[in-house]
Amino acid sequence: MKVKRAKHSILLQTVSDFLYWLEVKLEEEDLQVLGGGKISLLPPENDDSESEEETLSPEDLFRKAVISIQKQSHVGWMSNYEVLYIVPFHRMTARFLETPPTEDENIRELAAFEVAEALQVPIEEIAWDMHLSSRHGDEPEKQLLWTATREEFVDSILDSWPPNHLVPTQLTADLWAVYELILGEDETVLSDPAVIVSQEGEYATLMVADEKAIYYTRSVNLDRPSPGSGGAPVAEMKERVLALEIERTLSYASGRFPQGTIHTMVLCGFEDWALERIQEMANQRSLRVTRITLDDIKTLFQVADETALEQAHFSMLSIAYCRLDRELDGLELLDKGEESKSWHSYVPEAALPSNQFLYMAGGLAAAILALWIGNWIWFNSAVSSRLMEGQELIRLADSLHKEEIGLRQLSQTDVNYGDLFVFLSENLPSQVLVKSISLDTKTGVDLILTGGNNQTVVEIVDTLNKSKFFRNIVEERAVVEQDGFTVYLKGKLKLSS
Amino acid sequence: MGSLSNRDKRLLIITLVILVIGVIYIGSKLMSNGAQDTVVSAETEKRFEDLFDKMANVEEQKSQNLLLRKKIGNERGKFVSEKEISKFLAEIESVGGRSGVTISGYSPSVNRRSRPLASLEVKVNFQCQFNNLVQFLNNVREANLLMQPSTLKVSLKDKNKPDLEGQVTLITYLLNAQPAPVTPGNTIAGAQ
Repeated sequence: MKVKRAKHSILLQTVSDFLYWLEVKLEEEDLQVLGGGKISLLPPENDDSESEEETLSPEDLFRKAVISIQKQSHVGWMSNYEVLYIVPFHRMTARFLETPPTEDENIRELAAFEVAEALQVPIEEIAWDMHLSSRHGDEPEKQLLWTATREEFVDSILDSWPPNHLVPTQLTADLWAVYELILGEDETVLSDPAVIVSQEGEYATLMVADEKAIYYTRSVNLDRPSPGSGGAPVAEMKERVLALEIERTLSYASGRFPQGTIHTMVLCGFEDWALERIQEMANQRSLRVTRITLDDIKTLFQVADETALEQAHFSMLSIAYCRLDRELDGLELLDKGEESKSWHSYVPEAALPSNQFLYMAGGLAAAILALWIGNWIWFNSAVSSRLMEGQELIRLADSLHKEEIGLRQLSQTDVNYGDLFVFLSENLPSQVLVKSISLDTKTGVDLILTGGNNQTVVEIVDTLNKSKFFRNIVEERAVVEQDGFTVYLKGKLKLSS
Repeated sequence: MGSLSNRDKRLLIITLVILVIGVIYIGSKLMSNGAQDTVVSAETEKRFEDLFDKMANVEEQKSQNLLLRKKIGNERGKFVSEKEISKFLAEIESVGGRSGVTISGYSPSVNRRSRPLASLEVKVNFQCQFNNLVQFLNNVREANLLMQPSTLKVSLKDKNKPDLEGQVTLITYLLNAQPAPVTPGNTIAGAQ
């Protein structure tokens, strides 16, 4: 599954002491230019030597310009957008490479070797990428163009960037986009080899390409004198230089494309150029001149009325078209390592928040979750500790309850035997002797008395039954035995219950 | 913080405000009515209800038990457990010694058929004089371990001497012993 890219791009390019910018968004099927313009990177002319602006370094001016562009842009704190900075192509090296039959996964390794060999610098110190035409086909022999620059150059760009303001997500060059723009808009133009000429400030980029590959490319400075142009106007001088460089390029490429095999020249931009010399040269070489102007490319976009686009925006519009409409990655000089698919690729762009928002929202959610878990743990531990403490109380209550049962059992059969015996000693007549006494809370009382007589027995029985210790005392029998008059009494104990 | 953009600072402030409000809200719930608002399991709720009932009854139970103790004349005595029979016998011996009663033998038995609690019954054979017997019976009521005579047989050893001999069955209840299960058989046996 292809990783879903942002549909909102901000493009930046430094051209001739200006930082040009362009903001483009793909809404449904429409490419909309939301804003664009340029900001000078030169200190403002001011006679006041105390002016604060005068002390700003070029890097400070660049940072200030980026911050200003962010303020003018339409990126919000929930926006998902990409920022592309277009590196000047004249600061880069580019070579065509035709590989032997190679597996796709080995192409990059092969190209890296070629890049390091060509620049004579370890590949780790090189920022590079390769471009394979969108019409290349599936042949195992690849025809690609690699572009490279020193890693320190890329670092210097990033170092001069203001932190947290439109931080570049891609560093690229513009030639691939101009090439792919032509391929995308009119596939017949490059069906045969052609010369493609585009403008980048004071420089022109020249390519020899067909629909399969870019075979040859160079960046030339137009702002220089040319032979035989002494005293000519600047515009004419530039045109002479460009015509000369085109002829040189055709000459350089003649090894692969001999004279007469290239029939087309595509001029991208050059709105305000007379192009008489170019046309003359084309006629001499039997080249058919095709022009793609800024107005042509603007027809691919819906441009806000207040947005003023200049010639320098041509390459940015090309890149925006290739990125957003044709979904081409293009050259990438930032080393991002192995990119993995993220959940962003499965979520609609409108629902994608910024990383800062996600971090903070995630932190907040984590904090609340931690508090909730803490609350849950605290509550359950409080419940269990109270139940543990309560177990002691429950055990005490159970113990007291059983104790009550035991005490009730004892109280039901409670007799104060000490008092009972004292009562007997105090209330039995002196001539009567207790020979034996048997007390049982269940079965009752058996008393054997000796001495006295029947009258005495009657009094004793009456006394006992009136006491608090005995009840139902009756005379069972009275006999005269060896010890004398002996009476057997029988009865019950008075229990508390 | 110096490298944060204004937008990031705003986000940070919003997040901190929400965080502080969230912490205060959750903290206040923790500090106040956390227990009321949180649902516990039915088992835990039942255990809590049981606990609260028991807590409410403990003091009342203590008062009730004190009344019963006063009724049987022993406010500090304790019940013994099934494993403390020797301790119970030692207490009887101690009471007898304090009372001048000569104990000639013990015969303890656990009655698991008694209801509602199993009982420990100790038959004690003794010899003493009348005053010692009265003192012994009074000391039994105030012993450190709760006990009570259930049967008492006393007779004169010799008609011409004050010495008595007798047998007393002292009973106490084993609060934690498991009574034998009730079956028609042992119920009849118990009745017999």
